[in-house]
Amino acid sequence: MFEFTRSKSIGVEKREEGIYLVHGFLDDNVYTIELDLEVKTPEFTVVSAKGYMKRFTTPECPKAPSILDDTVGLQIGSSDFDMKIKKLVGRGGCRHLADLFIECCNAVFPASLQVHWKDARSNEISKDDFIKSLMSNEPKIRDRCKTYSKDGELVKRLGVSW
Amino acid sequence: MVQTFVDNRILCYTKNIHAGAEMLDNGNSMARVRVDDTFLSAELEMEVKLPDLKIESIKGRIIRSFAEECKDNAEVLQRAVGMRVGPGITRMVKETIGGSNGCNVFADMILEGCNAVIMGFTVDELDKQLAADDDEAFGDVLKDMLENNPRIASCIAFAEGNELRRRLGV
Repeated sequence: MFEFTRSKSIGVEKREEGIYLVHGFLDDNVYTIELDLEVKTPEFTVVSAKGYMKRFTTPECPKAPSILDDTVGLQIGSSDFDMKIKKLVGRGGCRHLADLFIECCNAVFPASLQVHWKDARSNEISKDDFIKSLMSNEPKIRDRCKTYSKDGELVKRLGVSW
Repeated sequence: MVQTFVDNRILCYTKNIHAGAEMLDNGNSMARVRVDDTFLSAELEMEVKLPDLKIESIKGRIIRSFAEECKDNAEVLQRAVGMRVGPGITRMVKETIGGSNGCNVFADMILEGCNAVIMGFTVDELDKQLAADDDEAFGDVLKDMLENNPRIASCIAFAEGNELRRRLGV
């Protein structure tokens, strides 16, 4: 029998040019939290953030989402972004809300990638060519992990250099 | 009525994460994590030795990924064996399992598993604490929680001078 389970579900939709709406839902034995986030690309800045604590442990918890107003204008992806959110939203509000917020923010880059991949596919661009152009045009993906590192098998196979 | 205009709100990206922790017969805790998103599907199983809270064994696999090469990264998980689920684990996992010589997906999954193990201990305690019969008893529970918990300033509920503290005279 599980002592504890947590599910997090994130969905991202592309609205008008450059705007992504992120819906996040966290449900575990203790908390139920919802979050709606609006992010502007290509800057990847938070335009709006609204949260809702549905299940919690103290009468102070439902006040936590009010801290989200302070995230407006923050840029996603900076090296200290997670730390900043853990301090601002976590300590100032709720660490589980901060966890969901970070998860939602992390979903915007792959969502924009998926939009570009869909366009590429409709133009009959192969996956390898798409990854090659991604690594050439998107510095933040380079050396992000073992697969996309300079010494990685993928990079060697595709003959990409930077 | 025939709908002539539909606002296209099809999601371009979805992600589902499921993490759970259970107690094993040998007294250890087992965390299981599953991630499914538009690009990737992965699973992880991690046994944490109690009471030391050290990762005793770990295994996982990337089932589906955008780049096929990601499926070969599971060996990085063995770097987590021996790590203690406690202060500093986030940085240690991100630096050791994630990063340019690792896999950020597995790093995040390990942290999700660690959180499930820790929350597993919290649930029982909270369940007992929050089972108060009336407002007065619930007030006593909250007062006890605020007075005897070392988590000052860890969140809005434990912030110094908040309304709850004032009301309960903590």
